[in-house]
Amino acid sequence: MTMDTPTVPTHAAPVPPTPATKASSFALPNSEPHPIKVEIKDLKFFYANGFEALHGINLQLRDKTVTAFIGPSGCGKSTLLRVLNRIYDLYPGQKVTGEVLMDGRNILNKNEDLNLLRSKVGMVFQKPTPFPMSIYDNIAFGIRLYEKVSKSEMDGRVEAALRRAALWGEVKDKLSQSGLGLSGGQQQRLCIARAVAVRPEVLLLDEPASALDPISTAKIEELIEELSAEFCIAIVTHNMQQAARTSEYTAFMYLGDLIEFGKTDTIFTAPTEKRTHDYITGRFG
Amino acid sequence: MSSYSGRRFRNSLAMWLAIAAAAVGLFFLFAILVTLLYKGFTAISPRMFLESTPPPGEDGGLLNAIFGSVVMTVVAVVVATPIGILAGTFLAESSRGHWLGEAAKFINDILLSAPSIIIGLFVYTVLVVPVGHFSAWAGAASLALIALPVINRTTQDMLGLVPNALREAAAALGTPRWKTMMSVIYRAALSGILTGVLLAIARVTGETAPLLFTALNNQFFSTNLGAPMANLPVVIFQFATSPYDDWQKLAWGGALLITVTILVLNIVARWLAGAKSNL
Repeated sequence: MTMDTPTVPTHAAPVPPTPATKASSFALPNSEPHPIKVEIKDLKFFYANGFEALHGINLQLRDKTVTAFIGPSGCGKSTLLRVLNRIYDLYPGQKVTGEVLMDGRNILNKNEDLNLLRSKVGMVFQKPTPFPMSIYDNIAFGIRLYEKVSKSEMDGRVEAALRRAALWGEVKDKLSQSGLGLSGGQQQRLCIARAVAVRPEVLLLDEPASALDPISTAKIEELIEELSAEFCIAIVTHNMQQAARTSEYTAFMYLGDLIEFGKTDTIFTAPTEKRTHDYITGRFG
Repeated sequence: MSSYSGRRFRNSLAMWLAIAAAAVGLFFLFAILVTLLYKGFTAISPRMFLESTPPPGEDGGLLNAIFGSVVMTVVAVVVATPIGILAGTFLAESSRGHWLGEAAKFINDILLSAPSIIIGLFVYTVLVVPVGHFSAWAGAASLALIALPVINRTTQDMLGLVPNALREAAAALGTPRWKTMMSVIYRAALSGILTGVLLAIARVTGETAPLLFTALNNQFFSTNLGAPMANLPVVIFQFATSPYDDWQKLAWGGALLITVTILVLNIVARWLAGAKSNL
């Protein structure tokens, strides 16, 4: 765990969005933003019954940056996330049009190698999904898919991943125990560790803390901040404070449309759209 | 609206009726078990496991029948388990919503509750009549046909209980589908699938009708699967309906043996199903 960040207030108490402290925690005012990692162009999404869940989304995700997606339930933010690693492909009948360019390459291409894509785009789900195997094997599973590594190197990789997910201290003496025996918050950090262990480039977090208690949530948020130094992170959240605390950019979606997208500070302090303002002030949603 | 005391009365009435119904069922169950224990226990001796079925009036055991039952059950389960698990996997994982899968599921459920005598007759026409004689192979085949839908259905049910989130989580790591199935989904459903296999064994162990048409019986100890083979259910049927006291006694012993076996299998199955699939 990283307890060496005294500027971070206690997350257990509800913290209102405080743009002033937030701004100081990342880029300097005039520094260049990170390059664009993922570019979404005119993306439409259709469920098997023909329902159009996304009506032409245009958006960019920057590398080494956290982008938050907020909006009321059913607005399409999770659907958008599920396009980025093409997990929707598991369900025949779901279709997309438009383009998603990752480092300039369209990943919606029919010939895209999905397993390779998903090795580059990790995902963490709302409910923790540890595999029914030991804590060690939960992490090693993903690594073994792509690499042949020696036992000692694997030990190192597993430890590194668990340390990155701030879980090592809690599990280092019970690596051979089942991952299912951990608490909900620990399971979720195990899932983050598992995703990080395969060294992805993009990390998709679909309401990663919504099933967790405030202390676990705080740990996950701290983790997101640390991981943003290395990955392009997209996080879906229903928690406005969480979006404000963790992200640099925020996208507000409503009924399958992207209503407003911009710097998190701007979205939360001076939104241009009335609907954004109404939503973040809790007037609807 | 009825009065509170009226509702209380109807509540306790329904409760007592339910208790009475349960008591009737349990009474007969225990009556059977107690009779079986009482009459069967005296028949059980080392000799029962060491000697084959005797002619009337002589001493003997059930060795040939026990051996035959074990052999045919093992062959049946070894054949039915992989087919049942693979079919259940296809129906649960691959054919969702497809008419062929739905039809296969429906037919499997019919097969699940098909009277076993019909399965016996079917195997009789297919494997006994053309060959010209009864055989243990035919017996094993009919038992396999009874075990197959049980294993198929439990596999479907157990795979259905594995949350979709787990499949998505594995896919999100870039896991190929076969690997997801082998390393994650089967592992999560393992205890349930094993339970299904055990229940299928329990179901098959007591079947008599299909064996009458297929393996028939054999007075002697035989290891030839191409010939008729003794088995517990048919021996019990034959000995219990005979007029000889010592044959009837052996039938009681055999009946107790089968019952205890099924009981143990069910208890192990329950224990397996209840135990969380940790690893």
